[in-house]
Amino acid sequence: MTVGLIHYLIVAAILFVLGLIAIISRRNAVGVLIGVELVLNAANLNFVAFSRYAERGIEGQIFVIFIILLAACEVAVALAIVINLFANLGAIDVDRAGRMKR
Amino acid sequence: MAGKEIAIIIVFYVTCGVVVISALIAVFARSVINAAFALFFTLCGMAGFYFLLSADFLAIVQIVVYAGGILVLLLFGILLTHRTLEELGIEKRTTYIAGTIAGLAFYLILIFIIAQGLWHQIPPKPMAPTTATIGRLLLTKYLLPFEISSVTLLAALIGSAYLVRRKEGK
Amino acid sequence: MQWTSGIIEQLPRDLSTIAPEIALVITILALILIDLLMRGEVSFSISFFAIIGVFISLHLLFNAFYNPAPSRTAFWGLLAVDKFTLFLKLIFLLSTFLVILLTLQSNLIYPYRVGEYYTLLLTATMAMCFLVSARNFILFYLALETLSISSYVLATYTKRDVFSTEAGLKYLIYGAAASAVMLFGISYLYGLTGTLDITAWVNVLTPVTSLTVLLALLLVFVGIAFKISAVPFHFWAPDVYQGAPTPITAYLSVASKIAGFGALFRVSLPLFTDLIIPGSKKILLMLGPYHFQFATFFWIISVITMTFGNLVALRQNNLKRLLAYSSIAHAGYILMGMTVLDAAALKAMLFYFLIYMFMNIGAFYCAIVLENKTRIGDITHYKGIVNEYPYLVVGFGVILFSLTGIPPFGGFIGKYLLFAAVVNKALSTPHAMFYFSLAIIGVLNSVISLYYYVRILKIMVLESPAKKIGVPWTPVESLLIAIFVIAIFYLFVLWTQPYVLIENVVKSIIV
Repeated sequence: MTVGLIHYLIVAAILFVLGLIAIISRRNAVGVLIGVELVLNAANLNFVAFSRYAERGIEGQIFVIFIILLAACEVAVALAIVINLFANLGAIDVDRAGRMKR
Repeated sequence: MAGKEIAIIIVFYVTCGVVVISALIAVFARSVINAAFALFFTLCGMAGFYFLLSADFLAIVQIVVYAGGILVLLLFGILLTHRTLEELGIEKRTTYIAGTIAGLAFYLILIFIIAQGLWHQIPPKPMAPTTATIGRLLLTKYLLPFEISSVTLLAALIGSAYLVRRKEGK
Repeated sequence: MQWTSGIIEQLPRDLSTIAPEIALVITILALILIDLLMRGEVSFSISFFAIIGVFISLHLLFNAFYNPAPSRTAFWGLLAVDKFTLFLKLIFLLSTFLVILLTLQSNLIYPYRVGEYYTLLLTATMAMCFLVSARNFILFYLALETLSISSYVLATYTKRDVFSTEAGLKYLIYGAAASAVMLFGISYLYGLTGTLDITAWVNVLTPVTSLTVLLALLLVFVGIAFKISAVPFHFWAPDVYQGAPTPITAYLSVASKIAGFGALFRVSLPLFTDLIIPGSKKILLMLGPYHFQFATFFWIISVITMTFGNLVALRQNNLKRLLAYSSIAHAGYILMGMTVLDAAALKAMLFYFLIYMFMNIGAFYCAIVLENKTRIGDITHYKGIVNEYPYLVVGFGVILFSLTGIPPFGGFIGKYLLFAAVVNKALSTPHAMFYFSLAIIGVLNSVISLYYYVRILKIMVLESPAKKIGVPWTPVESLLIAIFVIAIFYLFVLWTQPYVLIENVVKSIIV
């Protein structure tokens, strides 16, 4: 029994579902981001596996390079916003965060 | 030949174990710091998969950028803001149970889809280094996305630098 | 070297097809330099340079419009070059220009640095331009994410304001999740077809009628539905629209939403219709014994989106939040066009984009003026404001009636064209009830929306004022309101003029 496309796809599916659970369940911003990273990695694994088993070229690998780049940008901006929120909350009441006026 | 096959199978399943177990910890750990450290092992395991799939360049990029850069950023985020985040986000057990049930249902659908095996088929490719091909594609067919990504990086850089700067110019 | 041959000849021609975007990038770099070199009072001059950049880009866009490129694709098939995308880019650039005008009027942005603001705004605009012309999923995803990342920062731009920061964080978390899920869907489509070229999928996917394609397309739709704030992926919109600085709210609700529709066209037109690829078979998704057509899917989304948006808007008191729900409802109206998806529907949607841009940015402009005068976002505080600012209330009234879609305002033509497309489709297919019911639900929704739009006016006009506000009205405000009002009346009285252009535009992609 050799390792083939199906095996990688199943691992990717497991990672995707785990990431989805984290996105649904975590209330913590960084916790949700960890879930997003898992989903991105699941997609990346799919792309790399398909670029080996389903495509003549290696365009899937090029896509993964761009995904990693964008994930880095996204996390950098996320960190900036989280730090900013933290600074604001330090100055203002903690209890009022997370509740926008309706 | 057979020895190589067996070696690949062993490496694959060991990497699988590392990735899945650490991902489980990353999702279900109570503390976010533990989750982030578990994510480190998941990301390194992914690099292992890329090596097995003959994506040598990507494996290095994965370790350098993902494990070395993105994860460090996440850890910074947790450590700098730890107290507030803990107070803001206390996970409820019920949402976890609901999320897990939804996730398992989705997993069954995915397994069904994967098992159908409608994927595009090509004749098997030999294992070969990919760096040269990637470089060539980035400077020909994917020249435009390559250039746009530089603007993206600039925007992300400017945006995050603006957001974290404490002193305003005026 | 083998692989360099052809690039030297091809590159100049390809670069000329993205001249408007290049102008935007040069403006972005110039703005950064100007911001660095000119210390002190730079706010106004930077806005001025940003407007010049947008106008140069618009000029190049018109150039491209009247001198069509010989090839329909550029950059090795990555980019579509046609009048349809040029029209969408025209809308993005125009709305960016209007948003810059709103920024100049708003008191929110100017306490902060503006160099970064315009840099990010123009980056987002550039990303939209590439998004709607992407034929390859690498470019598609890159442009979508560039747009998102700039929007996250823009939503957080008033960083001392907790609501703005919270809006940015929510937008980022949900947006990152939606685009990651979308990416997983793209990876399955890639596995099914072995290519990342959207138009090349048609021939490969047509025989595959299965749950796999359905699920992959649904996952891709999650990412796009998030951008157009279609229910059930709308939940970010009210909080983000309320918390973000108002000019950015206008930008997100108009330009970003239309960019989402542009992305939807990119995926839907080749896969679900034979409009742009002759003889292509539409994808019919088989789910067990059931035929699941894309029209059914868009029907459901459209009905839920407009009904939900309108019903929740009835109970809102915060003006920006109310406009957020109203813009969700408008996404639902435009999705009626996606249900039909023939040439008439495409024209109707393009016209709706045009009028929606003026109506919605105009509405948010009125919100900015009210914010500047009263410093309160709650409509119950606008009682009897007509006595003090009659021009504002008259202009806001025109905009709100136009949003409802009643004559003699431009919004009526937009809705009329959409409903006409739906009814025409109903008359020409055996599934008449399917389309008739959609049109009826759409009309009922317009009636509901009349209630909450008029309620704002009722508070402003009929109720007696609590106390005088005392902030003077300025001529610039009259001028800007006049621009929106004139545009709305122009699109009612002389609507055939832009419509001829739109017919031309749609004809250019249909084969």
